[in-house]
Amino acid sequence: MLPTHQRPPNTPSTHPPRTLTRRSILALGAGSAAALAGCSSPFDDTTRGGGRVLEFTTFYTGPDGALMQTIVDRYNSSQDDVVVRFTAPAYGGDYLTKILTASLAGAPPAILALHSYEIPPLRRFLHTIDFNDLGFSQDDFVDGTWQLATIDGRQYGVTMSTGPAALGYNRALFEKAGLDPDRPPTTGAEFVAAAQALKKSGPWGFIRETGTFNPWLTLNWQAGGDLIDAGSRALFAEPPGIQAGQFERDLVHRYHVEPAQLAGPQLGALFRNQKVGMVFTFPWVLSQLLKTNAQQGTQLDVAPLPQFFGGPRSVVATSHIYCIPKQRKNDAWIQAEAQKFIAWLVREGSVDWAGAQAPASRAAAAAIARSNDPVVRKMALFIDEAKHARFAPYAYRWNQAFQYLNDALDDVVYQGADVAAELRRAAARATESMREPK
Amino acid sequence: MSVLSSRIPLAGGRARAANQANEPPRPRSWQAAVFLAPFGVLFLFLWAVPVVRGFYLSLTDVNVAEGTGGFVGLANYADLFGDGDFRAALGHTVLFVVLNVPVLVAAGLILALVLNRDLSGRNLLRAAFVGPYLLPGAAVALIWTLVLDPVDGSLNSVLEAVGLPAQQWLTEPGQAMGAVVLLTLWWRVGFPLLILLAALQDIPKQLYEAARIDGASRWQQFRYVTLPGIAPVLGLVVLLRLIDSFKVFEQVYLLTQGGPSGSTRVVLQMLYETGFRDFRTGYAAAIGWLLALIILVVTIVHQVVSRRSVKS
Repeated sequence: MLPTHQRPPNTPSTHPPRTLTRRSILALGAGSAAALAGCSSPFDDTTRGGGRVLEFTTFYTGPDGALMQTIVDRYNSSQDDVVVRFTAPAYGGDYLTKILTASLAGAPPAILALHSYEIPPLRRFLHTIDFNDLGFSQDDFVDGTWQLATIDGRQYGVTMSTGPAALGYNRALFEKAGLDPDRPPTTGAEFVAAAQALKKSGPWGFIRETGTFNPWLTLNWQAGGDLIDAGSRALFAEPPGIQAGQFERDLVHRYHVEPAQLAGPQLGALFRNQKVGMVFTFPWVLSQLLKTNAQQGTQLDVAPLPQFFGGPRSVVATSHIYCIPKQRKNDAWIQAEAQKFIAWLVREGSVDWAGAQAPASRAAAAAIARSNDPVVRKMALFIDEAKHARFAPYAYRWNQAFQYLNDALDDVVYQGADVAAELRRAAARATESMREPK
Repeated sequence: MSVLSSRIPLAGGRARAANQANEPPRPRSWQAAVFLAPFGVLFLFLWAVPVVRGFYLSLTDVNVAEGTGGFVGLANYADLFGDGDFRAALGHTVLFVVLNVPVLVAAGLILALVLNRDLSGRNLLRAAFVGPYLLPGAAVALIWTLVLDPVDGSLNSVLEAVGLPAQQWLTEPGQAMGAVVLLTLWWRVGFPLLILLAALQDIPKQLYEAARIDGASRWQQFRYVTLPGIAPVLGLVVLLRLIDSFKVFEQVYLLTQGGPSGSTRVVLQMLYETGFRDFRTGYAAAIGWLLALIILVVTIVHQVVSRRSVKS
């Protein structure tokens, strides 16, 4: 390149073009990293990060989630202090894992929904609750519900609702089978007779929910049994448990009213498609059943579960308890806002919530009975059954213990295995697994 | 030709200058280290530290939910040998490996041999067999839940159409693992197919011509030309499938969750449940390390056997 004074005009500059050297890349990288490290996340609008969004995390992954969203929207439009963000990230074991992981990381939601058996493993991460702070007393709740969140005399949450089981049945199939649809079975013998009549006319008489112990658990309790004793010894193989297991086995292998195969997640679809006359159902399915009736002209209905045996009246139920996790930052303020929200939910949201679950608030019962919403009115049946509700207990490694029970029941019901032998083996393994380390 | 041998012996400084012009520039070591640093940091914190921490965790009985636990030495490993659930899970895992690896490798090889020929629609067929490999596990589980449904599933519809009885598939303990192997075959055959196809295309065609001239039959060509030609790659495919099969989890967890009656519960599911459901992270870490040790032993055995067969 000639010196500048020797070049013709319009010659490009003698300065060499700027190139990106290795040093400049290094400097750029180091500078960017430092700048990014100094910034807080622009996406954290939660109360945890100093924002106004109060995270409300639940396991309402079904139609109940959509209903809770409308209730939350009502709360948000009623005040300006916070914005509640409702989420339902998972259900079952994965839900508890996510909550625990978030709690260990110091980033739990502001309010979370738990089942009663999920509170003990998480209690060290939860605030205790004084009903007085929320303007409640124990008498404001259906008896047996507020106690679900009590551990060693301390209250860890507020019970919003329970989900007692009921009998789902198809009125049209009942009529076709020559049964009175206004008189669903109320005893074990009537239940078997109805199932046999249904099977003769075409569909299955009954299909159980697989992978859980829900049918067996109700039968076991109604036979006077229990799941575990005070010393965490599994009681699956006691006489009531065997009686319950035998009843379930007979439905498949003796009366042939139930298929010898797992229905799994198709149970709801089988019932809605009229392939089965009776199932055990829960409140959160109610709106879907009534919607199916409206859209497809079916006549799906619910009734109290039969009393299968001579023991105490019992129905298995789930529980929905709202708890307030401890926070690393802004804890006092978040706790105060969370308490306000929970108190509002119980007082102002219970009637609407009756469209999905059986509210634990006594004050909501009268309004529910007067409601024009057919789903809410039908929920009165579940609310009435709530007084007989019993709940799966918590024990150390209860998940594993009950997995043994589920596997045994699958073998008994579907493979026709010996009831006593299977339940004895499951009880032994469950007792061993529930033994706490010293 | 090495750098040393490329030097031309010229006189004095001109020789040194000429040689320096031929030599590649020496990297400045600090710059290389700085550019490697981001990878090093990631490797350290995302692999090395977790591996060491995980091993230490396996020597404790930590329960993260309770916030309890301490050092227990090798007690977790001793407990595992006596744990009936672990033995059952390991048995189910080994069953899966024994069923899955030969079927998958054989299917991949047969498909590679067929799709290496000049067929019309060959590219479409290759895409059809490799395509499922790109699907995420959740999508595969959803598809096969419908396919294997004992009442309305398409597989049973096909069986009944040809006069065969419908099967229970995932709802029958004796069939569930076989069903998982079947779907794994559909899902994963694309990988061995691709690798073996590439290996087949590397075999010189002259070898086949020479073999045909010598009167070799098709089977003899396969045995004495094809197999030796792809042996190293085939060995690698078998090894990779072995390792992958021991780590089976996704399709089992999503399809059967270890059922029915625990008949498909594998080691990684037990690890997941122990660590993330029961929160016994120490014991779960020990399960992970023991599985890793088992895979290492299998790998070593495979390498020894492979080397001996190559030598013979």
